Amino acid sequence: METTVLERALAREKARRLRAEELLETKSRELYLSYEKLRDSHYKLEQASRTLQEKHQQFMDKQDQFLMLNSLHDSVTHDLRLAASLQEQILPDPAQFGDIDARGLSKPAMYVAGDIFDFFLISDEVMAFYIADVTGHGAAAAMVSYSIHKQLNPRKGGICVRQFESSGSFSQAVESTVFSLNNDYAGLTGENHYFTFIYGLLNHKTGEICFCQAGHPAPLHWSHNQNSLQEVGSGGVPMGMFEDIEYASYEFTLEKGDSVFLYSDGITECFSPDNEEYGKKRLSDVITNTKNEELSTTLRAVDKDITNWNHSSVFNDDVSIFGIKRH
Amino acid sequence: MKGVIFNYLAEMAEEVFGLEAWDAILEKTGNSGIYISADTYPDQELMDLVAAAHEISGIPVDDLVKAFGEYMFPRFLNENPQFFADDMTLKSFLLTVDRVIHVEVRKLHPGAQLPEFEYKDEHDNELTMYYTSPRKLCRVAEGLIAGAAKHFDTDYTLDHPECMHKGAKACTLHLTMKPK
Repeated sequence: METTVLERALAREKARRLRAEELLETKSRELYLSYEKLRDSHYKLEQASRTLQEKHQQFMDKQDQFLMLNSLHDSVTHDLRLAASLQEQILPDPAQFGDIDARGLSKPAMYVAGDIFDFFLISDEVMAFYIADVTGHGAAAAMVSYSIHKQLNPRKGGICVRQFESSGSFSQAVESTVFSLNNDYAGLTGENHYFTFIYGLLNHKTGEICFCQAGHPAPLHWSHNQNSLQEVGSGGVPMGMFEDIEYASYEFTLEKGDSVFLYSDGITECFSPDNEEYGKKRLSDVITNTKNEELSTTLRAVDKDITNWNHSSVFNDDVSIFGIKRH
Repeated sequence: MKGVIFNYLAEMAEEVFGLEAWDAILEKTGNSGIYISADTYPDQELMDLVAAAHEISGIPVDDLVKAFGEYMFPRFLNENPQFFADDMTLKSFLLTVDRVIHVEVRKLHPGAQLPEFEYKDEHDNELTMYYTSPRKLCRVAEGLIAGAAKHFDTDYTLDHPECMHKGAKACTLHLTMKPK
């Protein structure tokens, strides 16, 4: 064999090894770069995994909170249902005193209402009545309304009885009752103890009525003789805002065939889905259109009309109305 | 074509024909003879080397190519033992070529241009393989099959009734294994 053949073979092998080493170096660099990228990706993946674990934990915590809140909600709802049942029981049943009929309608916005009304005898001839609309609605408002009910309740020695028995006239009795009640609430702090209010006395034999108005919508008086419906009263400051306010009283006579309606602004300020207010005019029309009917018929008509207007039996504000009719 | 094939060819040429013959083949083709296994070289370079080997040895090209396939098989086996399970037969091994081995080779050498095989397997001792490749190296496939048969100690006959060199879309390689 010629030496040159071997030399060429060796040279080829040497060149091949050199080339292989170069290639190996290049591949090693590429491999190292790939390793670095992989390490970065791994690091990012670990970070993402930690973030995911944290998010998962946060989600689990939120879920626990949600379950707890849900449980609390169920508990509160249960309590509110019980409270609503109790509140319904303290509203007065329809009553008849001599030739006077009285009955009301109440629809709480939530389970319980900030509206309350009542009518009851405080002597053989005299019926007391009131309506209150506490700021807001729901449980806080309902507690205030219950407090008002308790203070005025004649069976619990309510102030209306005490003031009536110590006063020389209807107007003095009404004004002093409202004055006293206002001062009880004006001393409280916070915002949820304000309420609009009407308190009055009615001699069911003579039809003589006297009432004080404290920021509540004015009563609507249907006069049979004049064949017209008119507002009586002119406003007044809501209860609980300022101490020692003197509330003026208004007097008129409920003649035979007359009726008077006391209502909360939840009726007149009820908005239709088109955002139109129900208003005093529509309420007045329903009362006028049923002027010769029984009170129950009028109140059913109001209920139907306001529910149709609202397009739902669930209202945004408490809805209350009660009427007194003399036959 | 990957450099590893060229290196196998160089090894075979040196073993069978001698170093001088391989040197002469390189001189005849003008190729450098420096091949790195993982690098890629023009297909034509291999064809030129085979043609030169034919001219120098006088052995027909088809026989050379088939012998090259047979020569490559044990080296392939030595470097890739993971593809050979203990309970394999010639037939079960051949069935893995397209579905397993070539899949793995593509992972190791992205861009590698490998032949494709389809199979017809209807009888226990028979197997029909349909070979397609733009390189039309069906004789290499025959050689590899021969190498595999030797490894699995299996006698067989091979018919090659349709061939890409004769205008067929695929080469039909029909094997009949002889039971022992």
